[in-house]
Amino acid sequence: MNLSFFLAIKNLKSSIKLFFLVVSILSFSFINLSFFNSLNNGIEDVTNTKLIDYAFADLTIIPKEEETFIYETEEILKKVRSLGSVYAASPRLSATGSLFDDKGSFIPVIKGIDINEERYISKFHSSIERGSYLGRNVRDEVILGDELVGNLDGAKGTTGFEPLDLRVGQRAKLIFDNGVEKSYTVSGIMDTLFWIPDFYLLISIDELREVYGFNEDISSEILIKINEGYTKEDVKVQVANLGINAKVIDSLEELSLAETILESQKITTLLANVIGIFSTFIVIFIIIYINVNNKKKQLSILKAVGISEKTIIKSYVILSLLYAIAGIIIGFIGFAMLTLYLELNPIKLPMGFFYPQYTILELLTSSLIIIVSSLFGGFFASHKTVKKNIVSVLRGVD
Amino acid sequence: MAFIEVKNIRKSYQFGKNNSVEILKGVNLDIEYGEFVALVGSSGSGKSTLLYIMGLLDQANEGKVIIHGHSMLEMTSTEQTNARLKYLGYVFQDFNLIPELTITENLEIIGIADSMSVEESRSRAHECLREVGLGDQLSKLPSELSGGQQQRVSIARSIMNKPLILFADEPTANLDSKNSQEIMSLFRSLNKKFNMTIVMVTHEDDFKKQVDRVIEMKDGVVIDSQ
Repeated sequence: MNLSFFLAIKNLKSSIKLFFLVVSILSFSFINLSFFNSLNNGIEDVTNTKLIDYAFADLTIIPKEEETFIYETEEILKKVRSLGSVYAASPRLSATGSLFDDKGSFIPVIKGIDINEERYISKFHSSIERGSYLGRNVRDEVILGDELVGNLDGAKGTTGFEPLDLRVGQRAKLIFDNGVEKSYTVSGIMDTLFWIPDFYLLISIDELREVYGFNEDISSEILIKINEGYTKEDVKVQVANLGINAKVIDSLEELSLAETILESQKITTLLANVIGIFSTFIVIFIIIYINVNNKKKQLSILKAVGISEKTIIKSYVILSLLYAIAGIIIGFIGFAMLTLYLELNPIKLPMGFFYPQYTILELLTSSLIIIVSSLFGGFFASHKTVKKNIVSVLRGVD
Repeated sequence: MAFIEVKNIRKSYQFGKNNSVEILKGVNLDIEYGEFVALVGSSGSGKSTLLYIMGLLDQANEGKVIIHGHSMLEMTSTEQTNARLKYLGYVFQDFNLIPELTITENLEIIGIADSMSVEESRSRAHECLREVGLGDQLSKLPSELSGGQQQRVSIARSIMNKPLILFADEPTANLDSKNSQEIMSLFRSLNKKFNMTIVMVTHEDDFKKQVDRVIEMKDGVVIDSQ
């Protein structure tokens, strides 16, 4: 048997309480590293999903940089829908205005939608909390996001704004930014579980065009849902090759909003990882150092009888590795239990329900971080102690 | 040429930034192969320090220790460790056994470090423990043995690698007279049986008669080595 391994096992057996202490600390470090990552993955995933489901679809056609609108909407729709890779395409027209109740007003994001086609590119139709979706060819109805009118229990929205007192079936006054004032019946209240679309006011695109005096060729954006089996990159190229007088983008990648949300999470994750690595290293170093220092006489005896420093250091590195492996195993069990619990009881955040998500690679990375930190901690601590003068230690001077 | 040659060894210890005390002031000494010598002297005479330097456990500030023609103090740390493992044995005043290892394991690790298989090492450890009369205590921990028995284990450990020289630093200081005499007999037996060179630091006059030669030190120098 390898002498270092033999000494490591003996050391471990002789300080079993310390072993459990170190292992529990390392298992918490593992959970910390893995769980933080998986939470961020969950948030990232739900954010992406919500942005795709309500805000951007898979791809978005937007006006060219120098223009405010898309001016050939019908022709573009025809061309895009002809592609085999495209499942559906629907135009939207954006506007702003003030929505009033008896006491005050609020400025919603007004989205004019093609009531029939929109259901194929977004999930507004399945997010109606109260009332009903917009009827076909009905122009004097609106759908309000629940951030505008408060939640079911009358509580304020997640952003803290004072909601309007508007209910399904009521007439609501809307003054558009061009000064046109009209009243609409609230057809439904939607809760998308994502704060961005929950500030939307949905209205028929034909109605909105009429309010602004636009013809049917004008829109602010065209959202595209792609068929399964196709990649966004491929379809983006196909659409760009149609020769349309507009720009096609993968909004999730290109719009600063999505990037900001996701980048912030990535930075948070990175910081958590760095702190995790550092704290693991420090914890292991201190524990091994105390352990080694308490046994410095034994180390000096080993050195005195001819056991090499390399063998002694290796024994502590092996001991650290054993700590790390046990910590990872216990940590993984804790992580799995926590994840399972959250999968069964997802947490509700402003962007919706989410639960931790992880990949094997991420768990392996966390394991590697624990192992490497432990090995370095074990090495430096034992190296520092083993270099002490044998006689000084044996005589109790050092 | 003597088996062990000690030439002009000087050793100082630093206290604080500017204070130092010279413990060994140019020690010269020869010890022959197979000789059993006692290093004696009053407390602070430098006998233990000299033993540790000869045994490669401490460094001298100046001078040479030549064993069997090899200048030991000029060796690298790794070479000195290897020399301690293969050619030198140690017996300390307070035994210095590893408390969490059984007495067999205390010996076994030396064999394993010296490239023996676990079985060979265990077999040799048992042989050494039987040699010192502990053949019936093989799986005990040091804490389960008396002081005299622990010192026997320490002696068994020192002969595990069949050393050329055995260094003993006041091996009987913590033992009663009966155990002390038994340990001395053991040393003498090892010296005769294996022709092992033994250098022992002692302050007990009774043992001076039981060694081949007494080397007396005072104030960091050898004053009598006849």
